[in-house]
Amino acid sequence: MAEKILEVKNLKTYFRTDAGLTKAVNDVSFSVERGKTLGIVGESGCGKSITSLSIMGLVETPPGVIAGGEIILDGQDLLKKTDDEMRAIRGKKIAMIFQEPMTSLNPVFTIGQQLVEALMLHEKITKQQAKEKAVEMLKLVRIPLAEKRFNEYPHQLSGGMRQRVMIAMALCCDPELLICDEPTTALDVTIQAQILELINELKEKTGASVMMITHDLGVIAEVADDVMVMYAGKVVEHATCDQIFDKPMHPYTYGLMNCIPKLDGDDTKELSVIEGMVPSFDDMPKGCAFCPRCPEAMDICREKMPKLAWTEGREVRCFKYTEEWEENVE
Amino acid sequence: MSEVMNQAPLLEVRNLRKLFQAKSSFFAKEKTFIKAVDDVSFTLMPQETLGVVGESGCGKSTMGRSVLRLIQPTSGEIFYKGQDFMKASGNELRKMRADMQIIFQDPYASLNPRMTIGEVITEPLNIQKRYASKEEAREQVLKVMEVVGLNPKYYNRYPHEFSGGQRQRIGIARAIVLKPSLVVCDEPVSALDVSIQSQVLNLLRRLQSSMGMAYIFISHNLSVIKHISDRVMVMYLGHVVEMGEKKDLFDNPSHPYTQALLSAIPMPERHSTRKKIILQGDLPSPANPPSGCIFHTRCFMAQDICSTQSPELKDLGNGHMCACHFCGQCKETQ
Repeated sequence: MAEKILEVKNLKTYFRTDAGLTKAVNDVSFSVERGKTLGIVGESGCGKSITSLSIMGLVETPPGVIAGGEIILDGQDLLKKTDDEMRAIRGKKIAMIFQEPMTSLNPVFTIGQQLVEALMLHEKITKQQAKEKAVEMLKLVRIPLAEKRFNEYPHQLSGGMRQRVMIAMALCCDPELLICDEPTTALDVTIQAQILELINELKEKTGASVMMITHDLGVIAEVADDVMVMYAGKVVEHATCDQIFDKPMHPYTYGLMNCIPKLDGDDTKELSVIEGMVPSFDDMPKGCAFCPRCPEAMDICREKMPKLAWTEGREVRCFKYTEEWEENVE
Repeated sequence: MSEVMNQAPLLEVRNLRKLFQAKSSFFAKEKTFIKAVDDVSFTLMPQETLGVVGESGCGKSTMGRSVLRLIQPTSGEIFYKGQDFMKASGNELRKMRADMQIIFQDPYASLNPRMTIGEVITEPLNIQKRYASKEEAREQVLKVMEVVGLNPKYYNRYPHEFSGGQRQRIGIARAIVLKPSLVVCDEPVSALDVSIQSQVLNLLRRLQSSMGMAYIFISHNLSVIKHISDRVMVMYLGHVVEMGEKKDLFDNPSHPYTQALLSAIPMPERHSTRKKIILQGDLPSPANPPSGCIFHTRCFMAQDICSTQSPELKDLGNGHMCACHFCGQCKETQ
């Protein structure tokens, strides 16, 4: 068993809304091994982004509240840290890349100033050293004319360049864990290919672990070692990447794999679909959250929420594979 | 396909061009123009789907809108069912437009939040005065709602009450209520979740076969394009770089850009044996396009000639067109 860099146990992140309590992340447990990439897949509203924001301690409270669980990074529970302690960890030990590179950079500072700020905050170095390191980082993420770009503002860069700057900023303090929240969704395919290659390469170089959050199974196939599929705030399947792509076991994973048009697919046929849509949090079905859309739903699925059970070397939450259910689900 | 060939084309576009004036300083001597669409020609047969693919800024949306004259083209000719669409105006234009509709990308921005679903879908009927009585209009709208899979009891609801997928169905209902022959689909599924995307793609295909519409289907997603199109057009910086029957284009991509695009898509499969072509650099600014071949700055095949001479669209047979000095040779790199 490899060393675990991050361990999340029974994480519960809830939001108080007018409609009641929204369980955005509902009892999620997983771990990330050192030097490995964990992919988290799911559709909008499945809780994948809230999971990562909870780890970063960036869930806005109120309305959000972390109602339970542990987030253990290097043996320390992040949920027990004070704001000041968290501030020292964020950016230093865990770094994050966001989906929208335009809104995550500050438009009134040059990218150089923003990089130097991050470095000076976490490292004991002089401004001059920070500057040198920043330029070095820009070169590392292959920004041409790094010295010149250092003095430019975010609006002067293209989307792909901005995402590179974000990556440089995230990696400048050698984090142990890099969380990428849909890092390529806003980018074109040819630029996406560049960025994915860069993330993979830098991961090798720095030995950091990566959490890759995306809705694109293609991206997962390229970068991930392990995959966790989420649906309506719960983990429905957690397996190695090979296992998932060889044989998706949960009906949702299976449906997700089959509904994407493929380049080598038979395009005279209709695409297979997952009927219906993701349930809203204030109107969750009784029993398994996926059962209204599930082609294989049984009577018990409408009554009880199945347990995440160990089956064929992976975890699956489905009554096809287990007879156990979760107690005290209200 | 052969029976289609003998028919008259539904739409013929020749040398379509759209320039936008760039913001320039008051003292600038010359105005600068951005060539959003440069010299695009194609024909579209009835009931055919032409897929248009390219990266952001390649002019695919501008092209789609120019064809409907939602953006007035700078120059070029458009013939719709043999009629000169560029010269149409007033009543004639309105009449022709009833037959050509559009589905927009963003289902959140393209529906008026102050109109009910019923009103949104009735609007085209109002404009075209297609009904004798209010009851008749209501009946038509309810029928269309059912066709696109919207519960008729939602007639009096407002757009904010719907999810993205359902909103896109409303947009589709609005486009097909006049029973058009041509629908421009401008990235209709890019804003949707994957499980919803396949539902909408299947719906569009079912509607096409039941109503006999032709689609110009614009998307940046090559897998989607491959699934839905009969013919495909690849655009780069306002130019057509390759066009052909779907099978020809996907089995035998001849332009280096098409090859790179195809290889760049992350495939949902493990241990893929495909060799990736990773293009260097970003898309050049359309205000200042490279000389010669517009793609030469990022091309892995570029030679001296590429930076000076702009390649013509060459026919490789069966209507497979490619604009590259080396269309024959690029295959070797695969």
